[in-house]
Amino acid sequence: MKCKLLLASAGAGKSERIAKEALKWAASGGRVLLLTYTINNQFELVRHICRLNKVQPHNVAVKGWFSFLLEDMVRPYQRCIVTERISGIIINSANPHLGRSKNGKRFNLPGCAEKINGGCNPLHYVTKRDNRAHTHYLAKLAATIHEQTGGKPARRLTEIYDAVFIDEMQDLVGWDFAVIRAIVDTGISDLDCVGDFRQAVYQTSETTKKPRTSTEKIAEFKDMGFEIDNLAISWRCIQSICDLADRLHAKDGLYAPTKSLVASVPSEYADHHGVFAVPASRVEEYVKAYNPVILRWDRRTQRQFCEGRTVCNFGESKGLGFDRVLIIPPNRHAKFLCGSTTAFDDASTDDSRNKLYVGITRARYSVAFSYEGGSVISGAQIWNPGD
Amino acid sequence: MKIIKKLRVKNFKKFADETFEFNDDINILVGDNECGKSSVLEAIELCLNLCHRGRPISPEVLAELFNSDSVETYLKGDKSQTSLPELLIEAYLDGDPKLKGTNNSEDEDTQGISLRMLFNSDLSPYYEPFIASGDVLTVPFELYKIEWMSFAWKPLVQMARPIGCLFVDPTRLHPTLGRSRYINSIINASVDKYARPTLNLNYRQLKIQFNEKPDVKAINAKLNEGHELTAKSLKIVADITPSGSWDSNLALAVDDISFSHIGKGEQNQIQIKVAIQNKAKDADIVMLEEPENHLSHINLIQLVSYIEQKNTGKQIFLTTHSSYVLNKLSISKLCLLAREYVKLKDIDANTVRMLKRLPGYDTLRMVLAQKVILVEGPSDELVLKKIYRGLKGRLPEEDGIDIIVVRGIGFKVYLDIAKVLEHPVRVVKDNDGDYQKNIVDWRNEDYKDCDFIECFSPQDNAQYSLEPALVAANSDTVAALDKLAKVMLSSQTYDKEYAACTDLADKLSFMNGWYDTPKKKVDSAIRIFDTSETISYPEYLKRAITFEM
Repeated sequence: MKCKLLLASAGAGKSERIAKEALKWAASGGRVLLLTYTINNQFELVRHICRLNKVQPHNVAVKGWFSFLLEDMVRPYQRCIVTERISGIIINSANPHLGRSKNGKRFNLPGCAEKINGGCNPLHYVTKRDNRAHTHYLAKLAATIHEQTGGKPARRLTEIYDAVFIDEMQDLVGWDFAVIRAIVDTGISDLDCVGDFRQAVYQTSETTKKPRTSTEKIAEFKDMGFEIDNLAISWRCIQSICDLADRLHAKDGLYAPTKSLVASVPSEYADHHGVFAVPASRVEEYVKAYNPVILRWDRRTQRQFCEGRTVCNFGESKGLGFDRVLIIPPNRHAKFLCGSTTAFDDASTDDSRNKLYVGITRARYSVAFSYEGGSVISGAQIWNPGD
Repeated sequence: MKIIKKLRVKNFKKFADETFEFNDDINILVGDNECGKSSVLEAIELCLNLCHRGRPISPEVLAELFNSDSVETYLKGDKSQTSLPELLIEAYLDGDPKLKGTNNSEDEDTQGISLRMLFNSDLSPYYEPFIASGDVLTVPFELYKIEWMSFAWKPLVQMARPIGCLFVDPTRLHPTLGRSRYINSIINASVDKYARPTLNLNYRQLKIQFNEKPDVKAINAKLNEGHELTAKSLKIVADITPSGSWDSNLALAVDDISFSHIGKGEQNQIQIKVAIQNKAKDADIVMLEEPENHLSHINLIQLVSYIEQKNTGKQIFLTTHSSYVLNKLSISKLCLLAREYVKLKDIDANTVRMLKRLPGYDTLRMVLAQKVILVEGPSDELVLKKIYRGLKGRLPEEDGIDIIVVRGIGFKVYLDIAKVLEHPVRVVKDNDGDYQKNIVDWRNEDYKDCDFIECFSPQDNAQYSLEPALVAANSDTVAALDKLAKVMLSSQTYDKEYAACTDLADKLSFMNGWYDTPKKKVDSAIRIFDTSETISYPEYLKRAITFEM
């Protein structure tokens, strides 16, 4: 059994790498399962496979994390906890068992406790009305079934697949790791997890189960015996952009400096490349001059300005690449871009920092951000033509 | 290789709840008429292919599939929604771990597929008025749903079914039962995957060429001369719309005769061979219904040896009424559907080998008959029949008593089968001059604890075979012996040789001496069978043929 964790920087081409590895397995008769968190990334993986091989081989399966949990880790042995067939999933944006009273106080909804009369309570995991599984508790259900059946779900998995690849592993959290541990313990011949904690922006579930932070997650991977590797390269961003992005997580001490593999800047971008701070008053002018893709926090950010322009939220831009980018920085982002090294220190999650990392690393040749004056982070030039 | 290990059926046809275990390679389903052999094949087809004899499942089909007792129970009951009968077929499989899970009626952690036909509770608003009408004559199958899932509880799709079975069913060639579709499935199975597009492409080109032929063009030119019929152009063309794909337009021809017009035996053979070859490689399981149908003995021999040699990599199920098929493919593969389901896999290996080499013996009669009497030769058979007719006025076979002459291979083969099946059997055997050795010891050696095997033989060592026993039974008076001699001997022997003996002792020694050589035994037995005279019969024979009714 080989377990590998690959920490890949943005633009390192990890999806293509996974597609290549999977095809290699498939060609020698191995059966491969590719798992990822988002639907977009499932398509992305299939696209990469088809670019290399025209068709998706019959022995390469691509599944979303929730379908995987439901179809492979839960349903085959669910009857030890939920007797009736689980009809599907219900996507929770928050803990479904928490209610909020009129005065805003939070309380636990009755009947949903984990245990009932000393046994497992099915209603902790599924809806009463139509027997759908809460995504919030799906991994916990899988891990519990695995434990109750003495490891049957993972053993079944090893009979079906020779290798499992988990892309976007940074999105996994809490009980998801119990599922990975189950697979590791059962011994599939090859388990590869690939991702970048700096790009974890889907952490919507407010779980209390560890691991939650990237440091905890890495420790957990190490504890499970994963061999950890870095892929600190970028096929997308020029070096100055890589350098800027790297500074966001420099404090963590987990990541090697990213090396840009972009050979040269094409002539049409040559006159303007690198990192730029654009005074707020000249942003309209800048957009007119370079037509960058505008990246923002969410729909509510500077509505008027964004109207009719090519805009993208940080979260949704994941996986995409643009020649030129203009970032509209919210508070913390602005602080960082003005040179503060403590901008994210008081944040309770990595969400904000990671979103900026994603935003910066979308850009191939130029990243610009609007600023209100004062100092700017080193490595950035102030865009002030004719001044 | 994907195989069925076990099949469980509930409320299907004649089975209320039955489990069948199978062999990995060949399964020879044997049983009396109406015992459900074909139903087992149908259950497999339903569960693996989600169709019934090639037809998709509709409410009408459902009505045919449900166990009639389960329907009856529902109709007699309170007709509540929960009392509606449910049909279940579970195939326990091996070879596809994706199908693994514990979602089956036995909570077994194994691979498999389950098919349930049950009331669709979403339709309960329609059920209410149905029972409210008061006139419920049938189960409302229109309100049923079908759940077809793996034991991992993943729904299955017919286009991508995980395991394929091919059901060779000669009755489907009947013109009214969608004959062409059935032939298409045979054609489809007979060519490999990549041959299909090639055939289709060539067929389409052929049709285009037809339209371009000068003769056709000339005819078309005259068709609408002067545009009398329509202002537009009118032509006779070969239909090249996509619906006309090659497999619905092409037919098989044997020696230039269309497949449906060749002899039934040839049709049968070709279908079976195509199924076994399965060049399309889409069948893991091949099911054959009575392959012996329409075949002469010689053709059957050829077909069976084909099945024997080419079946590798596929699991085969076949039903048969032919001992030859059973013996030749190995009697150890027998799956008997009787009061309970029994497999013969534990039978003595030597017996299996012997029957493969000498497949002509009537082993199936032994397996199927309720009351079996094994005898050594035709004389014993004739005399037993005569005794029975004297008692009942009809022949034993009319009452389900089967007398089997064991001939050359002896009793052992038949008794080995009976032993494994624990099948009641009576043995009428000569003591050959040593009752202790040839009857008592012989029985105890191999069949000591088999109470269901009963032996019948005279205890007197002088009555070493049938004829001396007959003579002994009729030797009380000279008149009785004369009567027997008159029946048994030819008139020539009686007049010239028997008549010359003067007293009883003389006559007895003549009679016993006459039958020392085997020559005239059967002739004598036939004369006994045909005579209207009343003679006495040995006690052991009378006991052997008397059954408590």
